[in-house]
Amino acid sequence: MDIENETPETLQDAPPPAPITPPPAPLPPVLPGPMALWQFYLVAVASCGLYLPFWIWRTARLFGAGVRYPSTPAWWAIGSLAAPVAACVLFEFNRRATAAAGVRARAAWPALAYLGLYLFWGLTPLGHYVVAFALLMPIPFVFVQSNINRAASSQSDLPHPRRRFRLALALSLTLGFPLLVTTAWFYDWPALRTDLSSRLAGGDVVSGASGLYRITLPASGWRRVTPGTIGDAGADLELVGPGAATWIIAYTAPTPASSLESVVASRRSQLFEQVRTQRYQEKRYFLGGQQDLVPASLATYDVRDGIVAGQYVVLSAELDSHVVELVAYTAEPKQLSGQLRKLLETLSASSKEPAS
Amino acid sequence: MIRGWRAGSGAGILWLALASVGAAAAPAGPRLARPPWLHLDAAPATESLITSSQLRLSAEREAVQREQGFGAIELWRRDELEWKDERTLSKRTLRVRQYLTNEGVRQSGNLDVGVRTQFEELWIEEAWTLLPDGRRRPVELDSIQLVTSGSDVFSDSVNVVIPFDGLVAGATVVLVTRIVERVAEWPLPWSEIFFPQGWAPIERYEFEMRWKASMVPRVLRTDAAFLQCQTGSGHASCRAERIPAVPGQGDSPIWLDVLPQLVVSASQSWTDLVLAEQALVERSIASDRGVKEALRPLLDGAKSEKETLDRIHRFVADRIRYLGLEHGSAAVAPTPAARTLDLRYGDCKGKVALLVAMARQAGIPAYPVLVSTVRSALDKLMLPSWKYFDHMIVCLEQVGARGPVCLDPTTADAPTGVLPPTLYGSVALDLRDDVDAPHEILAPPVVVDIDVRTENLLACDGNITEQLVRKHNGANAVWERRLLRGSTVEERTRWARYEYQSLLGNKTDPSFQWSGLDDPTQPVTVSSTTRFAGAFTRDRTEYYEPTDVWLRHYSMRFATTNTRYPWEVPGVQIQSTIRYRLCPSDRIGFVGAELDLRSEFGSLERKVQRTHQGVSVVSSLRLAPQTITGDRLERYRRFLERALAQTAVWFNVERSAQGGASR
Repeated sequence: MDIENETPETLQDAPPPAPITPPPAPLPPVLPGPMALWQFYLVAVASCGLYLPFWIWRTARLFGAGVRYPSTPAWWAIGSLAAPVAACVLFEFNRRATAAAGVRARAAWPALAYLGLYLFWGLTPLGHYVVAFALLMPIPFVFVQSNINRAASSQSDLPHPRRRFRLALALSLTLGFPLLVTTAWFYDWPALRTDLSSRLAGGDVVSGASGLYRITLPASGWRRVTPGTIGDAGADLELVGPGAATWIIAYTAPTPASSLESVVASRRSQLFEQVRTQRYQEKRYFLGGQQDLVPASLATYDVRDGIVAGQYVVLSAELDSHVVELVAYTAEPKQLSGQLRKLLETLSASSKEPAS
Repeated sequence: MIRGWRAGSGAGILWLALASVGAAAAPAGPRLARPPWLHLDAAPATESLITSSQLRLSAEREAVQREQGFGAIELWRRDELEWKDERTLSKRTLRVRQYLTNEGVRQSGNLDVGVRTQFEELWIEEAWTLLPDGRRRPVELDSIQLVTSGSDVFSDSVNVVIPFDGLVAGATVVLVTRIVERVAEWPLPWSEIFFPQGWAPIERYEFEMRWKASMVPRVLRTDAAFLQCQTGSGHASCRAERIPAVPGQGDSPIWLDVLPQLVVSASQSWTDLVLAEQALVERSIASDRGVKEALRPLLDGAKSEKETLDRIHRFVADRIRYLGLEHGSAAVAPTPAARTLDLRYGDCKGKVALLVAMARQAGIPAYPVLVSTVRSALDKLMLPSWKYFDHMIVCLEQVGARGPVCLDPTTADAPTGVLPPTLYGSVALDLRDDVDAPHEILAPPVVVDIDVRTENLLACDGNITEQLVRKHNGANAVWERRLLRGSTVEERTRWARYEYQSLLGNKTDPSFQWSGLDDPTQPVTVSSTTRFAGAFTRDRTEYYEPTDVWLRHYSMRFATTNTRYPWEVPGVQIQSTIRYRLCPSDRIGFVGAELDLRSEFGSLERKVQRTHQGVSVVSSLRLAPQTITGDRLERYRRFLERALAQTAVWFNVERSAQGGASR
């Protein structure tokens, strides 16, 4: 049919044209279901953070419907275990959530808050506590969740959490909560006791529970902690030092059941068995010069655990009635090895030590 | 066998019967042929001036002594010296001994008196026993025994032994003797040394010396703090009560350096003594007929003074055997050099006289030196006396030497210029005109020098072959050579095997070789080869923890359990080098401790080095020559004990998975 040739009557009889409307917009993303923020935070903390990978996986899946992502939701979840990826995830989720909610806000700030909190945790004494990590790090996620909630409130047909996801939530709580409690007990509680312990000054003289010996601290930055905090309960003295992972544990063993030789050999066997030793050096001499004729062994073990290098310095000395062993470790051997040796070599028998 | 035993037992009974018949017929005991110097006219016990109350310890004191374990104590000891004139000295001795136990009777039931029979006469004035029931029983004088001793030294010295009869616990013996000495006949100035403290407690000790006012004054010196002494014109006396026994020790010290003593002499100087002894020796040296002729072939071709001295020393040490005929004044006056040369034997003085005579003929100015082999404390020579000295050596000044070079011609085991180790540090008196005091023989910085080298081959089949060389250098070699050269190969092999197995276990059977035994200029070397079969497994990583047993073994010779008396330590240097050579497919992992254990007594050091085929461990113990006094002995013991506890060597061996071929 040629339109140019049709009569007006024909045109007038025709139904009115439909109003011109813009082409249909793509469907808004199907948002995750709303969740009370307190509930979200509580679950994230109580699961020791294990809930968050599930949350990322689910949110990525929902956000990703009809959208092409560079990776699968599972990889988003796994990748978020690394802080930079987690920051990217937060940025992307928040960008989509604010867009969906029509909120004018900077999409990047939860991600920036996440990185800021991460650095704050790592660079302050809070870094000694896993629980602090579990408490702090969900906060940026809460804000993303609040934007998701806001966007979701405009939608009536919110999907209910799938059954599978409820299972995951339960699972993360089941696994995570015991993990949180265990970590708090075995890691954070000793760390708390360490941080609450008294700080020692340079020149302070420290004795162990046995009272058999004393050591003099050459510099400040050391704290005395309850035996069992770092080593086992059989320790006579425990000190936590400056820098990362630097500590000293003292043990005593009665003579003649133990000797300098047996104590040195036993520690050597244990360390060779338990850590990858790259270099071992030992020297024996009379401690404190020739005055007291106390035979001592100073052994240095350069060790490596994966990419982490460390050094054990072990001073064993045979006093009249006991062998005293000071086991020191530092993860910063270049900075602290000298100080550790100097400290260990201040060992001397206290007047309480019975004469042979 | 059974029949033989029956026949034998029958014969035994027969002989027993005959013997008992013979015993009944024989005299009561071996009768003493009385020499002219012995006078056995003892007074009857009933006439003794000693009252019975002086012969019993109070019950309280007896309980104390019993509690301390003494079986016999000296109730009373008295030494009296009385000069009749300048020529004659009367020496009276009273000894009263009470026996507390039968063990005391068993151990010390005899008393004895020493007599130099050419100058002295002995009177036994009283010899009797107070029995527990109060009876006095005289000694059967015929049972008194005369004892001379020595297999290569003979003299007129006789020990007169009085065997008290009827002794039981609770008895007390009394012995009063008098020796009259013809002092003027003795060629050296008179002196006496008494020891007022003994191995048993002495309840009462008295000393008294009397001389005429017209005589040269007699002098008394003592370091016995418990003695109360008085001296006056013509007399000197000391007394003390309740003198405890000398405390014993596991490792005996040089007793004469520590026992309290009382020395008496006529007023004289060291120079007087030197001149008197020098005159005796020079007279023997001057009698040198035949010495020049003997020297001519001996020194033919000798190029230096050192070589000349060495040849002379070797001649006297090796070709003049040691034998002493020391009767009368020959105890201090040497045999003429010519006679010693002719006899081809002599005692220390005779050999010294010959050596000095030969040296001087060859133009070497040697001189004799009196030495004590049993004294090293100079401060114990409180008055000039020849009685301190029991030996003679030769010394000479040599250009460039640290001190005089000394030789002991009585030992064939020492090279020229090296003395037996025991002589270093001894007190000595040079017999030279310009000498006015004794001195100590200067010891070299190192007297005991031992070098141990061990090569261990850790073969791929798990066996270890050890080659051990122990080298004794310097003065220490004199000891070792003396010990080894006098024994047969079988004897020394047995000894060496025992020593080795006591340290390394009896599952080994080393073979031994010796060198340097007959050449004193060479070190004495003991070499051994031992194979330890299946000594280790072929695990990927194996830890070795052997102990440096030889370093420890030789070092422990200088340890002591003594806690009271001064302890003499010579200069010691013991070096041990242990090398471990691995199977080519193996490599050393980590190595054990280096040692740097130092004290004022010495040091123990160790260096550990990886070598291209294994590991080398060099340890060295050094002790400075020193006298360690009682208050420092505990510290010395602690040093040695704690240092030597660190002699374990440690290293680990990494093996390739394939292992190596056997070799």
